[in-house]
Amino acid sequence: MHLYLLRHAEDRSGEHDPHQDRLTERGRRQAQAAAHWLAKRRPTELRTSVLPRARQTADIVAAHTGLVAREDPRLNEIVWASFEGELLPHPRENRLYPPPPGAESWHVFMTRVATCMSELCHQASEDQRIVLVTHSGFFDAVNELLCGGASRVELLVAHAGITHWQYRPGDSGGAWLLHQHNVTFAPQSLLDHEYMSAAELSA
Amino acid sequence: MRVLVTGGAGYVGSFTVRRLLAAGHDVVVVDNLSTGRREAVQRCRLHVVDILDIAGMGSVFEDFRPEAVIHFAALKSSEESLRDISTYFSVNLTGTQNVLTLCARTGVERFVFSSSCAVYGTPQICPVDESAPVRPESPYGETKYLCERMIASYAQATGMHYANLRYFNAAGAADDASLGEYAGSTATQLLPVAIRATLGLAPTLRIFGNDYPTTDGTALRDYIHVEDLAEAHVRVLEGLQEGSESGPVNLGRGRPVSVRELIDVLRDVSGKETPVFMAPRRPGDPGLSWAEPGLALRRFGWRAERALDHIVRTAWNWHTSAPASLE
Ligand SMILES: NC(=O)c1ccc[n+]([C@@H]2O[C@H](COP(=O)([O-])OP(=O)(O)OC[C@H]3O[C@@H](n4cnc5c(N)ncnc54)[C@H](O)[C@@H]3O)[C@@H](O)[C@H]2O)c1
Repeated sequence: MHLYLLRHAEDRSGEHDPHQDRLTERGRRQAQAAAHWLAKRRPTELRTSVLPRARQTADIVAAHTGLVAREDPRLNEIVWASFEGELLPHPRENRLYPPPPGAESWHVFMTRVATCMSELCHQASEDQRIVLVTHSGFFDAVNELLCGGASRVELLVAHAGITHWQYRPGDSGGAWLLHQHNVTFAPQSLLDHEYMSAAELSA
Repeated sequence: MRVLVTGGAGYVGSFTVRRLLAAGHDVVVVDNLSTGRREAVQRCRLHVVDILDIAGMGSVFEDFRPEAVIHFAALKSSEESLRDISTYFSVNLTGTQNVLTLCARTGVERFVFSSSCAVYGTPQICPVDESAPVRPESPYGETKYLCERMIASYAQATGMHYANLRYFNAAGAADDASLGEYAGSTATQLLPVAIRATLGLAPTLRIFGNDYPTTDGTALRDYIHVEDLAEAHVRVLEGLQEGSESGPVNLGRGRPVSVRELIDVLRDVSGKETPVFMAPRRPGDPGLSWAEPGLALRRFGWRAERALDHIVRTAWNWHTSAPASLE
């Protein structure tokens, strides 16, 4: 089973009209480039977080691949905000202790991610290529679940960045193969499908 | 091979002893009979000694001079370990250290340890393989992991070969109902507890958590037949002499089964409904846990052969033919 984790494209932050397009113009172009790259991999399934910035990114992928986007709230970003507006510590430093009402601890979030991933593994077959449209926290949770190391490593993931994992049960080299991390597209080279890292892009 | 088995009068231990004897090994059992049964080890020598009694253990080692040790003796309830942490650390850690000290002193060459899927803890992406990062969630799981580390250190210092066998959920009984699990009224193992409720010996079966994000909301576990586990011990013990690399090895079927599914199979086997009561989740209980069992196959040529309905049928036959097993 191949998993393509796709981070949502650039979005407008702050207050917004729910009917309005949530992605920025640049975000739409990022999503289109990612969708184009993904379509060439002939994905077999498309799942998305229910949050609008992911959902709208998934719609663009759906249009390019002919797949129907299935919503799965387990792909949502960690809920990490206080109603009272107090400043919270980084969730990965506050892993187990009860978060403020309505928020999720890192542990609870990881459990949600682990359940979603375990279910995929349970139903896995070799020819599956699944696109999961999600958020940066999900990339970190997957990495930490598979590799350990707690919060020693944080992953940089650009808007519409793609990370490609392969699940190979029983492979003595390792059940999980990381093919690529944070594949992104320079806006000027959208058509020749080059990709560069986020670090290169921001340099 | 001269094999000393600690905890050999217990559930997994007694099945393993039977198979060791059948394979022609010379077996001595050490057990304090706290949960184990004398009648479960009728065909071999039993010394009633506590593993915390290093002098008593020492004389058994001196007399028998084992070439191999299989170390089952331990306390095994995650839930109880939260309430009685000191006893768990004492029996499981100090007890294991005593056994290792005597192994080092008498030159034991092979060591097989009963570890547990509890070392993985949660959260984990399942199936878990042996290289998954460990996150024990209970003092019990912690003691099993610390024992694994301690065994690795002793082995490095002495050249002993070892395997830390991480069992998933042992269940089932002998085909002819001649041997099985003793699960008293305080037992927490799902299958005997469910059978107790099905027989009307308990008012209901309490299911802890029906809000797990699984298909039917109940927790997913990997049940493995105790005969398969016992067979694995013999294979591993014999396989270790070929100089294979030492370390942790999962023993599971690699098939997740929900609490609901297990109860459905029990209904098919027993022809009776199990009265259930939904209770909240228990702390330290993983919502999902199942094994990637490939390493045991690649390294020792072992895989679990017995299916879920076989597990349930043999357990049902055992508990209904030996009512004392539920007292
Ligand atoms: N049953 C399972 O599903 C399971 C799963 C994972 C790991 N394990 C491990 O496997 C081992 C055997 O489990 P089991 O299910 O057969 O349990 P059990 O309780 O039937 O067996 C343990 C045996 O050790 C003996 N014992 C306990 N404390 C002792 C002491 N201080 N000195 C001497 N003997 C002592 C008991 O009398 C008993 O015979 C344990 O180490 C357990 O942690 C079991």
